[in-house]
Amino acid sequence: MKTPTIVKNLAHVSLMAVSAFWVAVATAEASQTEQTRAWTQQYFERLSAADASVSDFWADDIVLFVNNHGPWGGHYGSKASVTQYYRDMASMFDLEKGLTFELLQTVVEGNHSSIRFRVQGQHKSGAYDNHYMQVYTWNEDGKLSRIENFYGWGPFAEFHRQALAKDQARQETPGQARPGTPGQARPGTPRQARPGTPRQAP
Amino acid sequence: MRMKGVLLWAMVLAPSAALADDGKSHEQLTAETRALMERYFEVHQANDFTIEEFIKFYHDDLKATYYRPTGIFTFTSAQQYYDTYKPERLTTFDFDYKPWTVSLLMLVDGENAVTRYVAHARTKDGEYHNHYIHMYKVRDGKIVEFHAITNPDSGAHYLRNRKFLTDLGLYKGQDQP
Repeated sequence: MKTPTIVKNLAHVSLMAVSAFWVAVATAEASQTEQTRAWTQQYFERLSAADASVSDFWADDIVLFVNNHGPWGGHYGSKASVTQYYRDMASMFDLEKGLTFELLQTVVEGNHSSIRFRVQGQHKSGAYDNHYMQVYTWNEDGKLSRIENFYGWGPFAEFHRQALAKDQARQETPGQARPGTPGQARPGTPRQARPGTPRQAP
Repeated sequence: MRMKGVLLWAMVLAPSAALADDGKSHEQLTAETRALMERYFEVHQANDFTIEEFIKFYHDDLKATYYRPTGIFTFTSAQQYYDTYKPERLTTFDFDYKPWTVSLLMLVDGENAVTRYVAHARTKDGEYHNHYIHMYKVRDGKIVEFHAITNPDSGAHYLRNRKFLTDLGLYKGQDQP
């Protein structure tokens, strides 16, 4: 029996409508991903230029998670506390000698993105060369609602090791001993939290 | 009529037709990488994976880099990585207790992927909780590059670096909640 043309046409149209729907869904997801990719790129450009306007990308209710148990680790639950965190971080570097950011890898999917980058510069405790990975969650307005900051602790551990060695050497040299116990953190080193650093529970 | 149908189908399918150099679209590469990462994660969650199960995920040119408080460690072959990683797991964890993972975020973008998660397990010394971020590059369906940063306190503690961290004043004697 021959299928009537109208049935054939209806079948074609139905199939196309279903395909078009799923293609539209996939296209919307791809479009969101590409939008997130563009935001991420713009954000990194400002971050790497140490441009204070980087905070324009932060939502008012942004949460920053810094992944370590050091004094800077934990959750920062407001735009003001995130700003203070970055100010504190910047204060540990000699910015006049330059701070270079090298973007090494980007992964973007939907409203999330993640970047891996290397930072080189002059930390107040010595030459600095470290690797970072950050995960970003973007809201629909193109603002960051969450930043997760992971970085290697090797350089900081090395600074502390050098500081310990210097303390030990001073103690062993008559007349050079400094007050305090060996290995005690000095103000300004990342080991000692600054009073008033605003941090909130998640 | 037939030509009109072909044109309509071409219009519908066009958005997903951009191809990468190897002839696969970005969407295809993303789907393949996601499948690989999901299998990889499953195997790593198990305690009793074999060298064969472990190595099959890695490219011959593997470069695996760990950023630890004691420095940067790079493994340049799957065998070398396995030979270090497996004994470390075996001497650290109590495998009667199945490790579990929460807050898993997996992002896949072509042949790039990232996983961020919190792992809970039991070591021979006590509870273990650690934050991880791993970033991968995939080539020819296998992991060719892998970068890992873990929580430097609790992870390093259980990886026998406790004394080092204590000396540095970085260990506070409590685990990540």
